[in-house]
This record gives sequence, structure tokens and C-alpha cells, in this order.
Amino acid sequence: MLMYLARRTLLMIPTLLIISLLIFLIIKLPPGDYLSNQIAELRAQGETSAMERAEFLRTQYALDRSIMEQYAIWMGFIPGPNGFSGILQGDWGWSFEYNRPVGELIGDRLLMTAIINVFTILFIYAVAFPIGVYSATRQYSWGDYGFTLFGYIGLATPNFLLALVMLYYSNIWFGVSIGGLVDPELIDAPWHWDKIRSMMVHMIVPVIVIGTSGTAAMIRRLRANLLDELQKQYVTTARAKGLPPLRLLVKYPIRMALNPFISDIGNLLPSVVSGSVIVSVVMSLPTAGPMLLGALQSLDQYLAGSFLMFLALLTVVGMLVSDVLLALLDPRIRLTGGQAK
Amino acid sequence: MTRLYYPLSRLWPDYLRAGGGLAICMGLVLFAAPQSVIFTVLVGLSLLFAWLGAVTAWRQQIEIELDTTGVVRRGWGRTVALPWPTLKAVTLRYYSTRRDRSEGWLQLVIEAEGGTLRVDSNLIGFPSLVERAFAAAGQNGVAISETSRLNAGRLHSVEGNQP
Repeated sequence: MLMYLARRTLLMIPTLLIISLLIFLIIKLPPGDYLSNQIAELRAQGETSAMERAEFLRTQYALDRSIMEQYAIWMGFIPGPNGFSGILQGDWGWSFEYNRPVGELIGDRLLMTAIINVFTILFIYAVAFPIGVYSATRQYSWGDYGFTLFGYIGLATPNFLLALVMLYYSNIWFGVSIGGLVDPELIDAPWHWDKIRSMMVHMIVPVIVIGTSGTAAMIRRLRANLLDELQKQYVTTARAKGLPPLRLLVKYPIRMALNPFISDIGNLLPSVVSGSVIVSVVMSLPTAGPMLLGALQSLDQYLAGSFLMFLALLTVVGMLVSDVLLALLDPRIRLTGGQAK
Repeated sequence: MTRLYYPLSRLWPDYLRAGGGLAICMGLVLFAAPQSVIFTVLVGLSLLFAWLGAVTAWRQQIEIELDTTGVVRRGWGRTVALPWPTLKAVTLRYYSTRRDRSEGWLQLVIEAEGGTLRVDSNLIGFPSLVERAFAAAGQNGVAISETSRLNAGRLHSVEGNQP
């Protein structure tokens, strides 16, 4: 297994390096940068002192250098105006818009994002698994039709619309305050039981909203995979030999049909983070999404770059975890057209 | 008696991986700040690739003797002798780093009273070892998992498909 891990990890490192370069180049594609826009605005207002400060910042953060030099400084491969201070040295850069170090700025937001996403993924699995198994084992029953309808509605409903509807009704029926992850009076309060309870209550709506489309997709996929497995000959043989239906189902077909659950972890993590951006804006959630959107709009390159690197890392690590789990769960050779698969 | 071994022609990709991984990670470690998380991760990865290189070197020098009484592994470290009548477990697992699961390798694990033997399908004569181990398991009444049986049945598809 360690050999597998070593070989698999080796693919990960160059992938992350290439992604970091692509992220930086894409962020730099629009003409100008945050400071250029600021200088243009200040020039229009005739403010010379602020313009001098902007020029100072341009030199300070190496924005006057070539793109490749800026990338190498951001990564920490070459020394910048402040020596070696890039991602490799644990320095994520400076946010021009917030005028604070990126690391300081995104810490809490990444934590909130991670908490919401973990709960969303647990919600997706907890809801999709029993429904998917039920739909496959009771194919074309009223329950299956009902869940299929639920699945299509889940896939078709825009998340932000569902968010608005659920916010309204959770406020009317349960008195939950609209927006945010805690009650307004607890935002600046230190962490204690009341604040945690408030956060858990506020998290129900975002988790359901963000997780609905993922749940619906997972139900459809699990149902389809399990139906494929249930129609195979080994299931017929096991039934003919008198194996109890539940034992047969749990021992073989479900284990085989679980593969997409595992292999989807890698795809699920980034799609849940990026898919929650609009929902987070609508629901005023203090997560990474709205800040990433703002950073991309204002060309705050280090803030946007750091967020995107975090998403890339999440994807690559997620893929690694899912591959390792899949290797443990299903160490079979696959044959397709006479080739080992 | 049959002698099985790992030829250099099948091991050099692993040497290359270990060397490449170590070079990249150690190169990045030079730039990383010693107190950062990235530094710790990179040092951990460097150790992983160093381990891969060491294991590959170890695999290159081992020799496996196979006969009707059992299997013996000789080389650096302890000699492992596994008599077939004391066989406890046999597993045959398939690994691939590709998403389509092609170009992977098999790992055979044999457990008996003398210890545990782990070999992979880069070993010259691997199919004969698998065949003998499965036959011994059958004679001893040792249960073999469905996955291992399936992999043994498709062994030919991995032969000549080594990374």
C-alpha cells in the first residue's frame, strides 16, 4: 500500500505545481491589476499622496516585474522585495482590498467553509445512500417514483432560489434569523455553547440547500449502479442457492455499487465549495465563496490566487483520498476489450 | 526448485520515481521555511520517496526459492521460510494509479508460520508462485477471498503489462 501511495503522490506534486502556474496566469489575464485600477481612480480625483502610496505598494509587492517573476515570488522560488516570502515559506501574500495579510484574512473563512462542507457531504451521503438503495431494490414502485421526482426537482431547482424559500420559512416557522451563520448578537462574542448552538441551527438551511443537488445526483448514480449489479448472474446464482435477500444485498451488490461514493469524494469537495458561492452570497455566510468572488472581481491577485490554490489542493488531496480508499475497497483487475482495467 | 527474482529492467521505473520524487521534494524543501506546515509535508514526502528507493534496492537483491515443500526468501535481513503445510492466508490485490485502472500491478501476500512474504507482479515467475500458493491454500482448506480468486483468474492480463 505504501508503494501505491508513493507512486500516487508522485503524480500529485507536479500536478499542483502546474495548477499553481495556471492559476496565476489566469488571474493575470485581465488587463491591469488592483493597484492600476486604484491609481486610475485616484488620478481622476487628483489625490497625489495616495497615488504615491499605490506606487510604493506596486514596488513593494513586485507588481512592476514580469508575470513569471511575480509567480516565482508568490510561490517563494525567488526572493522578492522582502526576501523569500511566498507560499513555500507560509506567506500567502497581501490583500490589497482588505489591506491585510491573506493568511490572516482567509483563516476563519476557510474554517467555516470546511465545517459547512463536511456537514454538507455527510448530509449528501446520509440521505442519498438509503434512498438510492431503496429506489434500486424497489424499482418502479410508488416510493421509487416519488424519490425519482424528488431527485429531478433537486437537480432542477437553482440553489439560490431554494435558499431564499428556506430562509423565509425557517424564519416564519422556527424563528431562525435570516442570513449569517450565527445570531447577529453573537457574531463578535467569544466561542461558547450558545454560539455553537446558534451556529448548528443556522447551518441546517445552508447544508440542505448546498447539498440538495449533490444528493439528487448521488441518488441517481447509486440507483443506476445498484440496478446494474442486481441484474448480474452472481446475484441470480446467490438467490437460487437460497442466500437471504438482505445478506445478499449487503455482502455483494452494495459493496460494488459503493465505488462511486468513494470515487466522488475528490469531485465532491471542490464542487461543493465552488457551488456554494452564490448560496453564500444570498445567505450572507462568512465562507470563502463570497470573498473569492470579490477578489476575482477586484483583481486582488494574491487573495484570489490563494483561494484558488486552496481549492486545487482540496481537489488533488480529495482525489488522492478517494483513490487510496478505492484501492483498499476494490482491489480487482477490470477487463475491458481484453485489457487489464 | 525454481528461483524467482526482480530484474533491473522491471525495477528502474521505481528507481526513477524514487529519485524524481526525492529531487522535487528536497528541491522544494530548500525554499520552504523550516517552521511552516509545507516544510513538514515536504520532509514527510521526501521520506516516503527515500523509502520507495530503499525498498526498490531491497527488492533488487532478494531471491525467492520455490519448490513443492514451500517458499523461501533470501537477501538482506531475515530469511523467511514458509512451508506450504503451515500456510494461513493468501491474498492477491491489484493496484493502479490510473483512473481507468490500466497498467497496474498485483501484490501477493502469503502468510504462514515462518512469517509473511510480500511480492509484486514485477517478479520474474510471479504466476508460478501465485499458482503454487493458491494450490497450497486449496490443500490446507484456507479460504481465499473472491477478489483474490478473480485477480488470479485474470493474471494473464497483467503479465507483460508492467509499468
